[in-house]
Amino acid sequence: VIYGQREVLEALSEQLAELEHAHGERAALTERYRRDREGLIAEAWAAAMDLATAVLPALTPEALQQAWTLTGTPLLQEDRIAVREADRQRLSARLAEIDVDPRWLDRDRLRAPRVGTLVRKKTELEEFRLPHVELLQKAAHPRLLRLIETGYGTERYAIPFWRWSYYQDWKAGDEILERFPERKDFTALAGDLAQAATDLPVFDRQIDELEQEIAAGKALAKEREDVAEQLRTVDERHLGLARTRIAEFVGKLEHADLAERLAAPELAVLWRRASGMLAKIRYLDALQTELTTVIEGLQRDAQKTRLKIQKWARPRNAGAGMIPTEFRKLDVSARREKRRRILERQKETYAAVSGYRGWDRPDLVGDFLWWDVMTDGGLDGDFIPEVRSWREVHPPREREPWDRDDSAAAAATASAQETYESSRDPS
Amino acid sequence: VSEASGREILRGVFEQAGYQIIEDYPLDVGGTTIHLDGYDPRRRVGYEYVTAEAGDREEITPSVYVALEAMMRRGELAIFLVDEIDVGGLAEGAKRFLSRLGTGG
Repeated sequence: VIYGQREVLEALSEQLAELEHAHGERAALTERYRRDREGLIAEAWAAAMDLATAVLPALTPEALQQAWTLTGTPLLQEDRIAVREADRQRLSARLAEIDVDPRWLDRDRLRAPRVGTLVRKKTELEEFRLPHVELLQKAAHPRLLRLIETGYGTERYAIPFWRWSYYQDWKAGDEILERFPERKDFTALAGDLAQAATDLPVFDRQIDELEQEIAAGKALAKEREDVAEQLRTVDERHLGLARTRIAEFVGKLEHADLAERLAAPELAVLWRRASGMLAKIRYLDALQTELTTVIEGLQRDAQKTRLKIQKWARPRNAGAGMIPTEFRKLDVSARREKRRRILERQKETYAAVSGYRGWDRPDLVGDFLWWDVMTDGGLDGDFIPEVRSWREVHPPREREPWDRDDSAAAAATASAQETYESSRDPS
Repeated sequence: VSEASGREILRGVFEQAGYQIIEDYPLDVGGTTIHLDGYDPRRRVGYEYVTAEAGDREEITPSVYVALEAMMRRGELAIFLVDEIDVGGLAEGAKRFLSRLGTGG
């Protein structure tokens, strides 16, 4: 039996639909993690800070020594207390400097609304300025500045009558004068216009200087407010910074690194939460990488299938055929089932890891792998380098009971196979 | 209004006032010969674009301009000098100039 063009095209279309469906499902899972990741990071940071708060209750030599003993964070070497005191000294000095600055001392006299001397002076200048502005606005004309500069309407005007510009000035002067019916000729207006043009930039400059002076005073007051607030909170800020250093430091460690040091129950639970949250993000990042690889493979396969559809749909292939062994490779049912199982495993992994909250489990002591705890040993994690490395130094015979599940090995094989197959030619 | 149109307008205004205009009339100004756009040599009245659009008035140098105005101040001749590009209302300006001379407009 040879399969004809129509049958081949139907099989290819079904294959394409299956690839696009598989792609969509995985894309939805990666999108969900993209949305959730920020919240997980915030939660991980909060956990690390809670631990830091517990190990460093105050910024004292004793507390720093305790934090060093418990976490190994090099806070003593950084001399956080000296840094805090230097900051306190700098802020106190600046505050003292501002407190004797006349711009601060005389702030009410200078800048009080309506009655401050600078404010009143500015208002006064604005009042003086206003009639000049109104006059020049009323006389606005493209040649106004030229008329003022050449002294049109005054004895100073020296443009001779044989120049065309003389008549242009004349025309402009008449047009401006029409707006001032109370003035009998331009001469009566010229002095006021010249005065306004001269005085206006002076007023503007003086107002600008006053505004700058007022703004500088306000900026100084704002700086004083900020400095005073920084000084008021200097202890808690530096304590917060030290705790941040601890949180950053412990965030780079494995659970086992501090498990013994933080064995006290109230600290152990905090450390489990902090290290567990970080492990959770690492695992989900690895799952995201795995999904991305699969998605890219599916995209490539879908594109190849589209090209095959194009090729088989050509009129010249109307009489072409496909032998049964090739045609059977187009059957998607087996691959669909395999993909479904792997996706289920990935969804299960996501749910188990992202939903894990058992930080207070007292049995989590010593050296253990968060992956095994979060998945209860029931899911394969060999796609994660950290888990693979753990397996290398902890062979299966040494694993805890929860890590002895044959289905995990089966899922691992299936996952690897999907990744491999997704990069192969679909037919 | 282009310079060419402006010259047409000025010629019309001047001739209507009774002047016999010769275009591109050669005139000695302080030892330099310039060519006036329009000039009546008998009545020593004319017009000249000193801000040319085409840039072809190189002969009206600042010193020639000063010498020409000095001749006018001495009453030797009267030339209407178009010293700005914007010449809206040029005819009216020319008429006022001629009226100022007491010869028309």
